[in-house]
Amino acid sequence: MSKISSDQVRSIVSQLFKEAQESKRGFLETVELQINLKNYDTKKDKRFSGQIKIGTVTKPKLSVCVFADQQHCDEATKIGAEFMDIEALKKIGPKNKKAIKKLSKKYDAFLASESILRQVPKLLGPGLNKVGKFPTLLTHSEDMASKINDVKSTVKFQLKKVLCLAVAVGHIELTEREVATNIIQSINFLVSLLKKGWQNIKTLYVKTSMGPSHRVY
Amino acid sequence: MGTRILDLLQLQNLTKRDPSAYKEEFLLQYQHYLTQLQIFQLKPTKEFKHFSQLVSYLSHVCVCYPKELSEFPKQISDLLENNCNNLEPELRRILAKSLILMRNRNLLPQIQMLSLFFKLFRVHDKPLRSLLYSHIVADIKNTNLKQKNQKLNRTLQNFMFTMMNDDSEIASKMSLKVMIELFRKKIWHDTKTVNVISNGVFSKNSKILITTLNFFLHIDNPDKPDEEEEDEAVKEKRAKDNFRKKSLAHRVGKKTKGRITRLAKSKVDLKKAKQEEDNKLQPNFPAIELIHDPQGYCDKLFNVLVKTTEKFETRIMIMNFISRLIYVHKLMVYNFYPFLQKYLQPHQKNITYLLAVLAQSCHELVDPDVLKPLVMTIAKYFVNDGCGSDVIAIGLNTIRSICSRCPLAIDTVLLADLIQYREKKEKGVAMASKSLLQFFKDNYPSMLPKKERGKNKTDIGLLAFGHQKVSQGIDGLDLLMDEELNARLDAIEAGEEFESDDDSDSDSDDEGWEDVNTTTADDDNNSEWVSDDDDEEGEEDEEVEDEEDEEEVDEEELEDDEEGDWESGEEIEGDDDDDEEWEEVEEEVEEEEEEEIKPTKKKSQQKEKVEVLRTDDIKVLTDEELIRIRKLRILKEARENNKQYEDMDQDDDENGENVHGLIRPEDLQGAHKKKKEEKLERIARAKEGRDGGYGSKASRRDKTGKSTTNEYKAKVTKPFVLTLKTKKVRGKSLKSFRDKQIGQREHSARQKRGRH
Repeated sequence: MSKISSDQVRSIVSQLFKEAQESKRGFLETVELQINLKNYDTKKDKRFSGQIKIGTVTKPKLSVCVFADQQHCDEATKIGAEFMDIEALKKIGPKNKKAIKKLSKKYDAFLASESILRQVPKLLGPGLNKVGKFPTLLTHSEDMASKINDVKSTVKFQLKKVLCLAVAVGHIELTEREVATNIIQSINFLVSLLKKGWQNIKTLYVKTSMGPSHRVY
Repeated sequence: MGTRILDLLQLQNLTKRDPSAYKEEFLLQYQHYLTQLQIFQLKPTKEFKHFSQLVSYLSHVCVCYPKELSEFPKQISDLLENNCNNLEPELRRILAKSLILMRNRNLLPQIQMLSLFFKLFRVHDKPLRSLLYSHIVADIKNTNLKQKNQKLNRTLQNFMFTMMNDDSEIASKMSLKVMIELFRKKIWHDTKTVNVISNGVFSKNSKILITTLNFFLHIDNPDKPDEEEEDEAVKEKRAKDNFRKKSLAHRVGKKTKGRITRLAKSKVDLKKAKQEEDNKLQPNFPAIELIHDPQGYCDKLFNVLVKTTEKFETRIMIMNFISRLIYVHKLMVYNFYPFLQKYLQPHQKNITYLLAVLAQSCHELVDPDVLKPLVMTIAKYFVNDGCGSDVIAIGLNTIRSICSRCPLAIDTVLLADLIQYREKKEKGVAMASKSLLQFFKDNYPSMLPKKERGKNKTDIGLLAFGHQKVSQGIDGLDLLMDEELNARLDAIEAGEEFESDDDSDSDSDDEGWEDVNTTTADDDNNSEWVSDDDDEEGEEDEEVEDEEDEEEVDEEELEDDEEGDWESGEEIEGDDDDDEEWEEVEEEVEEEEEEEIKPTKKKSQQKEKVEVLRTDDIKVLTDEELIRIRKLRILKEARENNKQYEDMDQDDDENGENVHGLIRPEDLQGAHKKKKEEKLERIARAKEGRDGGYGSKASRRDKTGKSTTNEYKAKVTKPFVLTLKTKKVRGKSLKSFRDKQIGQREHSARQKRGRH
């Protein structure tokens, strides 16, 4: 038997949507999955971390910046993505901590061409890594637009200094069905990451940014 | 004098029994004390015997006369505070003890006491310090026993923090020690404590520095297992066993009142033990992970390391700590690697340790260009024919560990060179080189020269700096749908002799498909399933999306859709391709009819039939399914490599590395022949054996207190026939099946672990 049935998830999601409809907010509410872990000994068990790309874009407003070489510059201008070339990066320089911080605050994620990615630590220092926004690799064979989309629809599970985590799995302008699949997909992936599977999970909650939380498990 | 001691002790005893009756005597003694106190406050004399007796008497009866003695604790602490350096050491200790006594009876506020005691740490008096240290730890432990008093803890922590920066080195060292002890006992097991402790590395005092380093290097992987934890595990197991026994007795035996109560009690015990386990669940993070702003901290520490004038031993400890920080937090401290490079010489002291430090500090975000010179250096100085075999082995092992973390750190030419060492005669070298080869064979065959690549042709991931793996779904989910593999696993688990898969195959075909899809695995249909994998996936994705658009999809409809899609997919495919497949299928049919067994060929065809149904979109996986996926994956791998299937434990560490990615120097040494003993060593060993003089072993054994036990005698001397009817022996055959099973399980676990 499954621990939770998909019907259950669906009904909760529909409830979630109803509540979101009732009290509309001035922004696009995100659907969040909150996880509490148990029986997880951070000393003995390996730290888990994993990323999964799920079907739909979860964070449509995520701003992505591309550190682009020549070829990618052209591509970026074509699709209208934000980009910086190597000259712009050199201008910032590794010593200017404030500018780096500003840069890392301005964007939610970074992509970088292969040749530039290697120089990022030299050019920008560890600042980006510090805030967990180290650029992702973008090769020439990949399509930039789809890669940006991938970044937007990636869910990252990583344990920090507490035994709970929260991830964005959708937003309320998706259909209920999409959100439900996203949730189930992420849950499945998370469970497969954990050493003891479902025994490691204490509770699961789903909520919108401003709405009440609903316990799934 | 003797009589007075007796008097006071006697009086103390009597006063405690009946405070009101002895009030007058008490007041008299109190007056005595007050006059003596005044003398001591003016000029502490050497004659303190009587005074100390009075103090200890008063502190014992303090509880009985709280009103009269309300000033007493204050007086003592003031005396200690003002005259701590002038007092006789013995008197000082007695005063401290009496204060501790009163503190234990809660007659003194904690903070005030602790601040006094920390002041006393500055006094040069070792026994006093150890007394105070143990008291402080115990005191804080006791206040946190029932529940954590957050507010008090915070003030205490702040106080300790100020003490850390105290002028007196001894005081700051003691406060560090207290905090470490409290962290170890899980009383102050939080970020704040760790961060206060972590400041110790910037201390000028080398003792504090070393204490801090030792804390971070050993707290998370202690040399001996935590006793408390083991105790708890044992306790829970015992509770479980007890409950099982009691419930059995209740079920089978006569139902007496006693049995019922015992059952109830064991139930409660079990519940309690389980609850304790649950309560323990406050996160138990390794201390090193709790450090704030690791990048800044590490940079600072590296600057300290570069400038420091500490001993070499201390410096390599700092290096080890930095490398652990780098690995755990994935930091970029690129200056660290060139710094290490100058140490990389075979004749360097503690070179294995340093190499382990180097390998440990590598992770996927380290620029390969930074590491390349290091790998080259190791290859140059350690792995050349002029070096000893153990040196070469260590060098190769280090290179392997570095490459397992950043494979780009080595170039193909060097790699091709290094794997030649596998033909060497020395075992350690050959093994190290082989393991390097094997690592690249398994993971990045494209780095190897063509003829070494083996069967596995594709890299596990993109070979580029900064590449992050993003899964598309759960690994091996498609295997769950692979009915042939499933059948095999079932058969293996059922313990059948697996000769040919024909029969079981056709059976499971039908069953398997019915769950997922109503189409059956008829021979005709087979052709439909044979199509390009990529196409399948693409279509599936479309499928799912379509499915999602419509709110509710009739299942039958869906299946029809699918079939249609499959067919269309096939139409898109090239005709010639199709024909080939057809032929193969026909062949297969013939084979089945003739009952010829050609498993290998069949396998490859079956694999193409795997349907990639992304069920994880629709249903939540259970534990069993996840375990099954894992098993199927192992089975698949085993079959690809033509190996026997064994159900491996899930938690076998990769590359024998520690869970936290620590690399021990011993790991790098690899296998090496035991060196021939030097003559001196041989003589020393021979002497050791000769210590007890001559004669038989029994006569040389310690005569006192070590007589043979009855168990030993029974084991050695008694004929088995005599023990045949004993409970111990008979009990084994009379054991219940369940008990036997439990015993067996434990035994096998012990065997696996190895005897310690």
